[in-house]
Amino acid sequence: MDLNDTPEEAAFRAELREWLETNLPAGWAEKDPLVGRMETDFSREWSKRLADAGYVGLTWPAEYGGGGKTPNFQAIYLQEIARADGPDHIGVIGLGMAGPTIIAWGTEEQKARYLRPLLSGEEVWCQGFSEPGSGSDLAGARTRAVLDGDEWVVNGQKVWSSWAHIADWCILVVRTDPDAAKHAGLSYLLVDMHSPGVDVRPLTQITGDPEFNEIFFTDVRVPKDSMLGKPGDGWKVAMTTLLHERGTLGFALTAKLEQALKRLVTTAKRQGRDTDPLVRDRIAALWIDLQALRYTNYRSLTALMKTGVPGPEGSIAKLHWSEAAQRLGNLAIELLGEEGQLDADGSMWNGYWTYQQLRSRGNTIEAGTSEILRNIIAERVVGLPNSR
Amino acid sequence: MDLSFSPEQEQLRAGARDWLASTLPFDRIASIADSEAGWAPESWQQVVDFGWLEPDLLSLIDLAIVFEETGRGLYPGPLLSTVSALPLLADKDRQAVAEGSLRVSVAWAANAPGLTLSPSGKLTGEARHIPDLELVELVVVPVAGGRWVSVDPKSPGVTATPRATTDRTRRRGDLVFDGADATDLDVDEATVRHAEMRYQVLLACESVGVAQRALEITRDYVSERQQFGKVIGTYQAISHRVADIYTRTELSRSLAYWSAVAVNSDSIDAEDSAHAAKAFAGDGAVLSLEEAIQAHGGIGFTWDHILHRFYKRARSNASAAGRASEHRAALADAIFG
Repeated sequence: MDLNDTPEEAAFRAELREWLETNLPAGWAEKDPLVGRMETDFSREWSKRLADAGYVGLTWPAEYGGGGKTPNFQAIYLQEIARADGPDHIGVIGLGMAGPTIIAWGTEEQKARYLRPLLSGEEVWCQGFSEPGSGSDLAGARTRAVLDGDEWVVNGQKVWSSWAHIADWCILVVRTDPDAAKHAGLSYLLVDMHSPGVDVRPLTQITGDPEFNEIFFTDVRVPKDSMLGKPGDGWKVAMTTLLHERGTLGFALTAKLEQALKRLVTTAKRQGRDTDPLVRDRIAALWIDLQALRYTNYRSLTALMKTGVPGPEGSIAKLHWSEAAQRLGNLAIELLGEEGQLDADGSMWNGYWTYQQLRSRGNTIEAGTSEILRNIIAERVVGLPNSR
Repeated sequence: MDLSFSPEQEQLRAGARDWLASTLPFDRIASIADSEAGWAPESWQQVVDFGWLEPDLLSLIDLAIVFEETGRGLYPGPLLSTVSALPLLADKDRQAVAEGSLRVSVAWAANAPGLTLSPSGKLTGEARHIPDLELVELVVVPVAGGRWVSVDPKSPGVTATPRATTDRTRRRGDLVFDGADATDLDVDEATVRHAEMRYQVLLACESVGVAQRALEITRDYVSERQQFGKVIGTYQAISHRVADIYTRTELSRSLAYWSAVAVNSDSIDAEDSAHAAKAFAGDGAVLSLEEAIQAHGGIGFTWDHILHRFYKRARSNASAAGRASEHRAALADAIFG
């Protein structure tokens, strides 16, 4: 049992810190925190710089532009970029979901075509999984794809698709065989978002930001060779997507929570509430949550490095993180008192906490609702009989 | 960063688990808890043979494993008491402990605030909440000026009062000293601080084991029990509660392991880690046992069912070595600087 970086890890961490210091814009560390969604142009340019420096796709095979490294380096990257408040890569969906799925299921041609532009941020991906009629129940998807010659013709509607408004490609779960049993009739397509018939409509979140979208597909033609796997493989391929970044996603979430907690402490001091024992108790409890998440991530990563499979305790990361993030946001708004009801430039850090707290209500819903995650933990990890 | 155990450590765990499973099934634990003696003295030889009492054989990380297992197995006996005292003892007493001829307990500072030692080495004052008092031959107590002494609880000038304790697998007692002979232990502040942190870590590990066993008992029960034509574990009100026990226990385990490593190597985050582990794992086990009892319905609420024994150990551990709120207050001091 060793909590320290190995010499290689320490060297990587130090090099990355230095790179961030040099490459982040001047005065980055002192600026007010970013509120809401990223600036797309800046993010594109930043993504390319990250990719050129070799910090994108760290665990991806080198032959497709990745770093060919073990997951511990990805964990370090996620920690350091969060600590530096570094902007996200513009292709979070691509990096976390589409890319790993293409690596696992793609043909050589598909891997050669899609992976490099994804890493550099030149091509942006979105996800087409949820529909108005099927959110948690992914297998209920009804968007249809019918084979017509060498093309699949797609009709249907997807919802909650983040970044669809700037996306070039979409990982799309479609029903290709309506007669097959639910899970068996699904397929997985890589769809060009610039195709005729693709219509993206922004959806506004309670934060006021149109961060996600509806996508309407009307007779969209998709080449046959844009399918991942075979017809009927859709459920299995989708499961690969949903298990994305197992073992390292927790590091990204936890590192961001760490940044938010630092800001919470600053806020408590600013509000003159830092001597209130009840406030101190709640902040200490959040700090404990953070450490518990951090060391759970490390345990899961240790298992992933040793066995190729993340430890089962990793399944609790997103669940516990999301609830802690909500507690944190709520405490921040409470600390601000009536000022917490203001927004934009009348509010601390231009409405940072308003955005964080409202946005956190989505944390327990997206990427697996807390209800579904508890089902998974109870049934697949603890071993209770299936509820359905 | 590697949070895995070595093959030897896995063997250590397996040895403890197998022994406890074979010698202390639930009905034996219950009858020991309800007996006047409150422990099985013949079990001590195995403890000695395992090497758990050798002061330099097992690291704190190894001991973390031992206590996670003895928590899971609800071992009744002065094991944690004795091990918690080891860093404070004189060499000859450590030797006697390792040989199996001496069991020890500690009155930690918060429970023995006003003891004084005369220039001629006579002890006066009161010490309370000493774990396993009836089962030990030596007690370590703090005296004014930051010194620590050891004293035979059965010697003249000492009045021992065993207390009816809710956790009958770890009974408490009080000592009143009136001119009792005591031996100066010559320990410095750093050694005492380390012993305190070590105790917090091992309590946290024990609580993780206690909660883990409750999870297993509950998993088994709700996977069998039927009501309204279905296995009750398929009802999400039950299964989600079980998921929460699992989540809370894993988070506790992560903190407990972190604190074992940090305190073992006396790293810069040792104090914080011990506070965090004790607070979260201690209170966490109590909550998990409450949810386990709830998931069992009526039978979970009976004396005959084993769960209350684990619940009472969880409660005992949550109160020992500082309330969770006190640990969080100490952390807040560090966070706010």
